Amino acid sequence: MKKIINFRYTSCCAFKFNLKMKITTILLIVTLFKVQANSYSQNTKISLDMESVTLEQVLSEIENVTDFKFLFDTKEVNLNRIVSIKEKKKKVSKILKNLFFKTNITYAVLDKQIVLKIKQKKNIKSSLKKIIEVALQTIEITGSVSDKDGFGLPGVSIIVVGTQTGTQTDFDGNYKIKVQKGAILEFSYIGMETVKVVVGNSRMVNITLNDAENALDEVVITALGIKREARSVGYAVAEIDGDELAKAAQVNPVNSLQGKTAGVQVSTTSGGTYGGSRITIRGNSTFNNNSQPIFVVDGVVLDNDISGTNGADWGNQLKNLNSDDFETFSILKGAAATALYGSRALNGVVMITTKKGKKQKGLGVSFSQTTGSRFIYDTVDFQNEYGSGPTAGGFSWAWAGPNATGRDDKHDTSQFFAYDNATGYGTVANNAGEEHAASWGPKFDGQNIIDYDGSIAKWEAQPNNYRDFFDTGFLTNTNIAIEGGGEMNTFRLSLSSFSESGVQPRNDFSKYSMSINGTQDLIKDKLKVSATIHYTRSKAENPVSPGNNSPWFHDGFPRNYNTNKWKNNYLDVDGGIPYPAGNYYNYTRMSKIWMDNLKDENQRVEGSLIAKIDLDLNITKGVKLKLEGNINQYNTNNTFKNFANSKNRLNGGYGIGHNEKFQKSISAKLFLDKQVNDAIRMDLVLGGELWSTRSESSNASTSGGFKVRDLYSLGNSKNNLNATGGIGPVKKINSIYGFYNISYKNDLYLSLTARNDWSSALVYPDGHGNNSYFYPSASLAWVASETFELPEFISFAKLRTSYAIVGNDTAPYRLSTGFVPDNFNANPSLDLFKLENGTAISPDLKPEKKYSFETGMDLRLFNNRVKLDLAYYKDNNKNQIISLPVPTESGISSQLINAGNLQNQGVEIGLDFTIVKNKDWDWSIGVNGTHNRDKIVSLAPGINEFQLYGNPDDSNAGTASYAYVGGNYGDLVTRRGYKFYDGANTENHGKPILWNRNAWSVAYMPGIANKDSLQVMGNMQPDWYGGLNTSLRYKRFRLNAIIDARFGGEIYSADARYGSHQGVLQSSVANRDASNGGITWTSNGQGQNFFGKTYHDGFIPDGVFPDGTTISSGPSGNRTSVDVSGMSYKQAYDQGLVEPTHYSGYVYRHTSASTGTPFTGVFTQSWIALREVSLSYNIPNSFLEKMFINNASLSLTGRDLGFLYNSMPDNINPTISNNAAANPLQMRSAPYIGSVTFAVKLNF
Amino acid sequence: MKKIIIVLITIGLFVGCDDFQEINKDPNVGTPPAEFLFTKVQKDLHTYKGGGEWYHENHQKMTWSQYLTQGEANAGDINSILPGSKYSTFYGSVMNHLDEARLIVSQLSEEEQKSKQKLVAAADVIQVFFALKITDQYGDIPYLEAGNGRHGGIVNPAYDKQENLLNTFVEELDTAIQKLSENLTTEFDFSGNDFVYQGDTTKWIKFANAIKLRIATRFLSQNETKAKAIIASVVSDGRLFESDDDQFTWNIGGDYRGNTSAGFQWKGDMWSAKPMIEFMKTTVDPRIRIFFEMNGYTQASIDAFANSADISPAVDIANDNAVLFTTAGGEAILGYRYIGAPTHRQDPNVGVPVYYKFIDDVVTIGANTPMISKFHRRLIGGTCDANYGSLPAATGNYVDVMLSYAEVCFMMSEFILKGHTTGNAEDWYNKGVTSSLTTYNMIGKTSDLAMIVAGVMYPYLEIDNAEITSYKATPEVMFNGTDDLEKVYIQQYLNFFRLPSEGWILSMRTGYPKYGSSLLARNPTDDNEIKFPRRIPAPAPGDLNLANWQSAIDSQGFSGRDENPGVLNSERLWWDKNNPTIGSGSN
Repeated sequence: MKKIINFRYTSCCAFKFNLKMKITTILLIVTLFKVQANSYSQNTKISLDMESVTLEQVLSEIENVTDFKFLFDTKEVNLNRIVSIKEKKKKVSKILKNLFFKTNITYAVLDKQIVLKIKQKKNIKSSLKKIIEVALQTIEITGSVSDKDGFGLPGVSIIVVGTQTGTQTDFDGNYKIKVQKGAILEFSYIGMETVKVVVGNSRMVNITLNDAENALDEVVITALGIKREARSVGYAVAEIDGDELAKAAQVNPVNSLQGKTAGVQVSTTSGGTYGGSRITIRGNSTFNNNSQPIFVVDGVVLDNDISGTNGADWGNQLKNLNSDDFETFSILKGAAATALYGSRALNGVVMITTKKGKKQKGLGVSFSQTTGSRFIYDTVDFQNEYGSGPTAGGFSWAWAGPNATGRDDKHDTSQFFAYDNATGYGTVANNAGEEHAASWGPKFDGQNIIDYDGSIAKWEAQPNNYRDFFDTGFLTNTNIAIEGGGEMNTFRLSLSSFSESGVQPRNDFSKYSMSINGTQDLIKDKLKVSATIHYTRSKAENPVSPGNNSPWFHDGFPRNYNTNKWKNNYLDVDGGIPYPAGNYYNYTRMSKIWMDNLKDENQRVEGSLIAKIDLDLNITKGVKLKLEGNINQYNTNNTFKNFANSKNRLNGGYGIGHNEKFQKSISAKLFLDKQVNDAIRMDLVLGGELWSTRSESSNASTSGGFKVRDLYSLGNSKNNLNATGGIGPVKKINSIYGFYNISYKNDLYLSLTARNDWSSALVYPDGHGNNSYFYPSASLAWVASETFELPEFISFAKLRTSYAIVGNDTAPYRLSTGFVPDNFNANPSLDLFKLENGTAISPDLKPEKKYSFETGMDLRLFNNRVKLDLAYYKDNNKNQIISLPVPTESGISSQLINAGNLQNQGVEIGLDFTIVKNKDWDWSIGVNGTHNRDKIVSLAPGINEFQLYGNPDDSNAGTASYAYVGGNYGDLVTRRGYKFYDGANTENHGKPILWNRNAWSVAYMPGIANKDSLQVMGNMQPDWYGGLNTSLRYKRFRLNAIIDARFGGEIYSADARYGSHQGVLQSSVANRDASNGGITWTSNGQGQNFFGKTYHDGFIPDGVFPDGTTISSGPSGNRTSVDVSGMSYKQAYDQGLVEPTHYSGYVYRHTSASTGTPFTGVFTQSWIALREVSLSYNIPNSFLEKMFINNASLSLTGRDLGFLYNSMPDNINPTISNNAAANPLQMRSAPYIGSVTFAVKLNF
Repeated sequence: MKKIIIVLITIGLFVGCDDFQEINKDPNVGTPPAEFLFTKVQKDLHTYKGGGEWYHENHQKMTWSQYLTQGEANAGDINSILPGSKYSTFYGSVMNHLDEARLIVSQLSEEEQKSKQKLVAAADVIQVFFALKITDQYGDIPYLEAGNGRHGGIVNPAYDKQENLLNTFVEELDTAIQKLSENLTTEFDFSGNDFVYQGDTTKWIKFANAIKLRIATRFLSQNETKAKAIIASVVSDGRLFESDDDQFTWNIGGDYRGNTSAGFQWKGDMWSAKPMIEFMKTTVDPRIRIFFEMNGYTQASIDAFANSADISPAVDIANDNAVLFTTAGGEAILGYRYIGAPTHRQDPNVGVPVYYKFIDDVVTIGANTPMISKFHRRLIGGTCDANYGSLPAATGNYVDVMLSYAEVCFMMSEFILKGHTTGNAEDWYNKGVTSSLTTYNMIGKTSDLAMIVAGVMYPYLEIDNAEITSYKATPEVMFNGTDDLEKVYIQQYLNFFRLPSEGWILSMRTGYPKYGSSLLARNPTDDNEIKFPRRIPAPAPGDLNLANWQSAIDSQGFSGRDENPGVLNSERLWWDKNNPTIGSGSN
């Protein structure tokens, strides 16, 4: 169909600007899109050239090119009549005359409305006359329609009851309509209660629509901040109220999402007050360490970097967000939801919309104050029966110290390691050895001993010594917000001050946040400018380094360690920490940890500025343009002071570092919206964006210690300063996109999106590169309950499905390899260069692609009392740009190529029940659950495994997570596993072999490093995870609770392994003596010659002696050997061939880093946590009015209150060490920290 | 529609023009001139050794060749063989950077390429020098297709047969010599980038010829004709090392003191080996004070050791009291200060651990005093500033002679004695002995090898000419028509103390030191001789080159990644196939 449309205006400059417009852009747009005059005339002339089209198309075209609206009854007017029309610069009335020539339709033009009616043959004139009369008696009503928060509602349908007359509100919620006096106007809007108003004398009718009770038609915020009816959305979106999250009083907003919605998994780390938390939406999309969703605050994209993988956990920029300003959180789960955010949204999007000002009378002032405490409510289960001392058959015989004698039987754990010669007391003084970290020593009995510093102490347990290391944290948050708005503008100002002292000593955080938000109509109803600025200045101090090797509870706090005594008494007379070597006084265990925690200073001041300016232009009805510019500037300023701890106190360090990340985005979006007819509505968004990011940093630190003591300054550096820094990375992404929705009645909704990105990161240094990538999506929602008459108990039923492709680039500079200086400190005068890294870059890298399918249903039953939301999704991530290891002899170590097919499949269920709902009582329960599996379909040709995180050869954890082709993402592997018996005695095949260490008289199942094969110990992925929340209201009281849970999947726990190793955990008490289940026996001299001695710590290991094992025993000089090849220890014991083994030696070796295996630290991680309980009370207005308070509420919130179930042994805290995607390691976990906060909110 | 078009055009204008190419260039990387990579590779020739050779291999090779004894007489882990990191150093640090250097030169103008021809030739010589070390212990390795993954994209280079490799090396050296010999109109001066030879191209030629001689020794038992041809070509070229100045001396300058990560003794303490110590004492070899540390005897401990009530059997100190040298402090050092650990596992003294335990506390007196000499920790295995208790730290520089004048002399002497070429074997031998002593003296001096006698530290004592003369006159050393070839081998063996790879190869190639020798005898290691590996297992193959690796293993008749020392003893590399068993002295 060929259409030539010419525009003609009655007057080209009827539009007057009252404001001096300095913004040339606006002028440009005005010129480009020639704004329509607001006084319309019958004289409007248009041209039409349409052949063989339906009448409907013609009418629609007239509506398109003019401001005319047709009103008619579809039963009367045959819209499908085929017509041809060719008019040039004709009045509309003339065109209409031709159009309806010789038909039974007549028309009347009333300013901008054209009424079509069937000709009443007999009474044409009077009929028309009547219409005109009616028209002449009308008055024009203007007004606005807004929601309860004062937001103008666009597209509200306004109908004069009993007529065909009607209109819709414009973008800002304003409308005009001509009606007769006394007519009834009906305002209706999806998701809102319908309101009817009788037109009286007032010419202005402003309406506030309230949310419909039990709304079937909620509005959700989707990609690019576009509000859509939930029913129309063909993919899963979860929306959470910002105030709900603010209640959790968490520095990191990720934490507050725990348990809230299906498909979102939050894992906390032991990173301290402001450290990172891992959030994944529907599993891991990439092999990258960072598979976290981006956070979008008011349209500004924030990177959600991982933290704490390499030392200190500073968290990321999210900690600077101010939860007081959050209006809503929208979690866009599927690729179809996120397709419009482009590659950065590959892992999903969490959209935060902040609060805005409202049109209201006077100012709205709100004040809130939250005060609370974080406290330790539990720790791992320690044993408090035995104190420090070595294991039976301890392998290390450290010095017994001056004036002391060692014990006489190294298998007798009831003896002290050494005895003071003068007093005869057992002594722990003067020894730095591991023996005093382990708690395998004598039972506590209150006897006198010589303590670390030579003083006399009692031999007794210190049950709270680990807990005493920590502080009680306090937090306070104050927020004042002022908002207001008039005809033409709105604003909101918010100021917050937050501070928290951490539970970890000196792990403190404070921030000041300011938000300014304003809108101004430059031309009423036509042109609006709005601006938002969020600025936060924060200070983080002394972060936790969960991955580091500093002593922790398992090797730092022997059960007799008196924390309160030593934490004030750990420096030696020189002011440094005492060294054991050659310095035999006052050696205190843990002096290093005290120094790290109480003396070193590590501080980061951050500035976070998120700002944007929008310009909204209503070009004509249904055509809008939005221009947006935003910036995100993130500065971090670090300083550190490393305490000088040596005798001369000169070995300290000092450094400063600055880093700035600056991101900016400019975008333009054109919105076209059209109600084609009663049934069909379409809208189209076209847009483009220019986005860039740039970082730079500089760092300087002292080198080689200090010149003088206690002067922490760069100038005090002994050697030349270390200086690093530079510019980069820099990246730009340019994009264009389109977004098309079409709906049929209230039944069917189809959305199509398309986006093309051009990324600088895929451009090679020579300028070539596949850096342009296109990705489309389609989603369909069908509200079956509209289409069919379903049984009455089904209130609503919707089916949805979507398919999307998302493209992705890679990190900047990855394609740009070259040479870097090979700094050789020993001789800096040499000019040395080397390859920057051993990676070869494939010359034709393609963008990554994620193919995502989703389907689901939304079912509501029994008058919406029961809501069920089901989703199934399947994502395939292909062509991932990964660095695959290649054989060394190629001269490179890895190759950057496109590889892999990582598949996520999962099911999400959300179920909500409204159990009671009446004037006094509300009670609802919601549960959600997710099952997700990330599976590796393929890697690269010839490659079957990919190392995700960690190192299977690591001497400590020995654990890594891998991806195997055909397997699941995140297999826990090690090289150090059991060796299984395969010898002559077939009966015992497959059982782990034993090492019988004669010298130690200890047998155990060793971990044996097998360099050729990795053994799988488990998989990280949970079988399912989910949450339960309930809300109970009685009158003005409301009680909320959230429980979240995870079941299945393994974790490697260094704490469980080494806590056993060192004998500090409760479980290590077993078998230590007869009262704890140990076997009592008298040695017949097996192994070490302690013939005739009686022991009580006997244990029978569950292993098999390898072939060729003989056991010799008997008194010295009369020893005999027996062959126990292929026997299990139990079999040999039952036959009287072996003695029991000493339990402490068995555990120590079996769990050791050097002779044990990481299998001893792998446990299933399942838990149910009581995440949050809150009680709030709304104070009655009657009480408040006297104080000029509009409303007020009080709330008491408890957070992280306990685990109802925890599968970890010894009550180990199931937190990971950092938030890298495939990190399976739990190490150095914090104690259990809960919080209670009290909040007051007042609105004036 | 029109509006849409306008918007699209506007957006198109936004998107269209950009500077992506510039944006995505990492400002922190660049392309240096080729000589900067040349220097880097020269540096890596040694610095890998701490983490590579010394950490992974040398404690084993020194034990197998009886330079040192490990643990309590070869107990424990001596036979757990590691593939080492030499392999990855060659491909990932040396060959690939030399390839890059050649590539950078090849992109210059023809004129510039010509002027840098000798730099490139020197680079080629370095590559062959290192590649020989790799095939020496691993056999067939990828070479012709290797090292170029960054540009050619070959990630699965084929394995080359060892024989072909050795031939290729000779050809490459010949080509390099030819390029280095050419008279050029403009010649790039790389003296500042060449800390070994300061851009002296004649020395590079001499070095290349020396490598050819090393290669000739690998051919000897397999293809004598080829070996002779190589020797002949070197002799006819005539540009051989003429003095200590010519040898390949690695000294990077600055304050480089060696690689601290070496961890030489990570499998257990290492001690001087008894046979070698005894021979050096007999010949009053001044190198003994460079190779080994003295034990910690004081008069009190001497008395204690002499008393059979304290130790059984008592140490025969009285019979071990010849003066070896006199320290700078005037203290005469007697033979009993150097006592080697027995190499035989069943030696009765092995079971007396307290006296064999070395406690690094020089002031200790009494039964804990170390009795056995340790290797000189400032010479091998780590940094040359190794600390001795509270005694002053050394400030010497690490220096490594990677191919010595003495080695060339002894090879020439051997070739003449065997009739592979002509000349004066005695003359070469004497030059070799002298050079070995003067070279170790240079190392001792440069590395500040202090001497510690019972807790007292004396400065390094230089080897003087009188000592050299007297040493050469010792019957066990003197070239006198009796066992001359064995003497050549023994001197080569001693000279290789600090090149354990070469010492190990010499032991396999010649069968010397041999059991029951009247000179330096290899001692049995156990009642049934322990089978020591004659090759090092190659590192685990990468997934992508598994097929090539497997066919190379198959064609060499190997059993795969077996690390059993018996297997590694019986499955010989091509160059080693016809060589005698260790200690048999039959070659």
